[in-house]
Amino acid sequence: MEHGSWMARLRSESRDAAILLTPLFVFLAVFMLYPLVASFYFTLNDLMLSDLKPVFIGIDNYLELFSDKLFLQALLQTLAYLTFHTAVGVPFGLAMALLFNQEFRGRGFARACLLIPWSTPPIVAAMLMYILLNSGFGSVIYTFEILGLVPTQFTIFGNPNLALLGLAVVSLWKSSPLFAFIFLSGLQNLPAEIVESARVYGASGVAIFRRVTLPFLKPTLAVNCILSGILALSGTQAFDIVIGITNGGPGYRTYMLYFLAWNQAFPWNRLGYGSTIAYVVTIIAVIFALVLLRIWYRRK
Amino acid sequence: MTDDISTGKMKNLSEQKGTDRRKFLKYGAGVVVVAAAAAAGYYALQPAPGPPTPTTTAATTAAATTAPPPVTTAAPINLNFYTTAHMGFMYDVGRLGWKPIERWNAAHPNIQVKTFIDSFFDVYTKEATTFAAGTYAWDVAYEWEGIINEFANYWTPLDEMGITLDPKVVDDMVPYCRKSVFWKDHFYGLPRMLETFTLMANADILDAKGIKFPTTYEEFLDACAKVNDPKNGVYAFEVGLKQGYLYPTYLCFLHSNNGSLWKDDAQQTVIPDSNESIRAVEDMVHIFKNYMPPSAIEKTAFVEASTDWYNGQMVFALFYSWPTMVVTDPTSKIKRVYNWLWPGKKGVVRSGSEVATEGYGIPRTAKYKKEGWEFLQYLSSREVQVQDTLGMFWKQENEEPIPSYWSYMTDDRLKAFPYNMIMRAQLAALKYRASRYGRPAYMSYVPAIEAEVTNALTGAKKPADAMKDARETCDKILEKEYEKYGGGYYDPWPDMQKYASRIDDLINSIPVEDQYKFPF
Repeated sequence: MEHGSWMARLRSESRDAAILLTPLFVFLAVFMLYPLVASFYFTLNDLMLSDLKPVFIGIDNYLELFSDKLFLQALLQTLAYLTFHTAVGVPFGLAMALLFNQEFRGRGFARACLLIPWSTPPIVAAMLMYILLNSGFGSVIYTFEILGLVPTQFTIFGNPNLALLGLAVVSLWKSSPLFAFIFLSGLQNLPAEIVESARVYGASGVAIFRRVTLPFLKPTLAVNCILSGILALSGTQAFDIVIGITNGGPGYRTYMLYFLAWNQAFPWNRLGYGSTIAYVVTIIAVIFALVLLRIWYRRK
Repeated sequence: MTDDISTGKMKNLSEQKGTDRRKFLKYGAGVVVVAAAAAAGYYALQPAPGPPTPTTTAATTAAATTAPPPVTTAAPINLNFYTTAHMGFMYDVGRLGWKPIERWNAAHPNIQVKTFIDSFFDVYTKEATTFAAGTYAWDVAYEWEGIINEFANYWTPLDEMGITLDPKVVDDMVPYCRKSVFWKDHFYGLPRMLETFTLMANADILDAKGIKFPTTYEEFLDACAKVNDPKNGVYAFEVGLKQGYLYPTYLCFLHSNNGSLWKDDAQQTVIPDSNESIRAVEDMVHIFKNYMPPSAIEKTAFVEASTDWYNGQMVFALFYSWPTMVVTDPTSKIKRVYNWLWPGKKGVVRSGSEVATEGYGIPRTAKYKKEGWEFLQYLSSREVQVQDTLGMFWKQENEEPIPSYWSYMTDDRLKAFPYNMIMRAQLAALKYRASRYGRPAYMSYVPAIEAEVTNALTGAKKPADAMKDARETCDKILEKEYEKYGGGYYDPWPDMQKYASRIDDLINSIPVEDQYKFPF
């Protein structure tokens, strides 16, 4: 059936699709696109929450980033956090997946337990770790003290050289199970006959892992690496854990970009500049996401 | 997939003639982009929303010193009341069970108060974002100088409601408390409380070692050296040093060096790198390294340290006076407490402290301003404030202070031990500088100072370098602030000095046993 205009065609041929998709478009427009456009507009203005009178300043907010020592420090710390999170967290997740892929009694229960850290809300995880790892009253540190592993009143989050590492470990505790489950799904698709054949031909466990398992898991590995990057960069782990444990301290040693963006926008009342930092985080996260999608579709 | 009835075959929707899903998505996305761009353009072209227009009510003169009589309205209303979690007294957990909100609701069936609570640390951002959104949320809300200075546009000045505070009421208000509800010639609410940092000591330990309560900083250091016993788990001194509430402690050390955070110039320039300030930070470093548990660096002011205090693991504490109330708790390992001034160094004319004051006001978006004003007067009334002080308890979730009006402090109920000790110490602290240096950019420059003090405490920087960096950051922050607000902020300290003799009279009117009397 021919129609004169695309609207007519749309009405007659895609009505169902339109009805089904319109709420999604509206949702995307209101909750994603509009905030993106509006916050981009904020980045071009000197805008404060206290009066909401935007003063157009062009790209001054972006230029200020280059001379803002705190932004540069937060950027470096975020990248260090991200690198540690990925370089340690993903292999750790893989190790857990290999372990939980073995047949052993209570495996189902153990796997269910593995989900607990991931399902714990980030701010709750932060408070929990703050209580466990606090040098004054934390049971973990206290146990280490009794065992003579650390000196009395040993502090992680009060030590400028350890605080960021401590946060990264907390974040790992929370996100490694997710990596493990993604690896597990990959491992369960690994054809048993290939592994069996390798074994019949005399390959050792290490050789099977290197020559069979790991190559098979490459796409999953890539997904986990990028997911780890996104979580460390802009996930709630980059904010809740900071605000819940160190509040950016000691000094500025645990300021990360997300936390800095929030601070600038709200407590420090610079909505325009805070939006600019958030935009930078978003751009980096989008690059990660694009890489993720590319790998995902290539695998398909 | 969809059924093709005519052929009986299953077809993919996109394969049907004339149906182009991609095209639809493309057009749909295009519509969304255009709509979003139009919305953004509309937003950009609109004048700033700003605060809503003020409303006016009939002129009244506030007495503010008496609880209001029950008010009846035509239809019952819900009065939304926003307060903070540390005022447990307000809703439930007060030790004596005197519950102001419950009492109000019982007396005012037509004005039922609905309470909303947040942590003090979340109040600023919650109020800021709610105000900026321009929506109705509360009729009466918590306020203090930081939020009043910066967000005054979003609060209702009392004079706009036709309310003029009686000069006697204003004179009765402690100037520090006035600052929590006053900005640029307008009152925005009524104060509720006052509390200052004071020095507390485990009296049994001091007496056992024959050490007098220190009245100078040098005596304090000597005492610390004598009582410090970390091998047995007892530290001479403790106060949480974690960023977020480190600033009040820093101010105490600043004042004990006769320093001031800002100059008396028109801009009230913040000077964290003054000689006095650098010496203050050096003192903090010295005390931290020698007499405090290393874990103090990750504890919030008195919050976690309160356990150590309660367990008798520290001899001296610096905080608001309410930890003194351990003497009334039978489970406390401390039985006797001395409570007096945070001492100044020898030769320092004035010592000093840090003062916290809070109040309540009426947001511009409030629905029930008249009823809100009635409730505001109730919160600020003598009975509520005195009961608040009487409800004092050492536990962190229930931070009760002393009243915000001079006349309330003479209440006989506050003359009984241990309230008398606390009242006297707090009043004595008011004789010296206890400014919090509130100004519009308070929430920006305070974290900058705290971060650099922490850098000095952890050895990441030398005190002088750290405080120079703090100055650099503060200069940038305050340059913008000065452009916008012009400086000249109300500093209550000169007014406080006018009340010196009244403070002396009040202290003398509160009896206390000799052992708890200390010299100025």
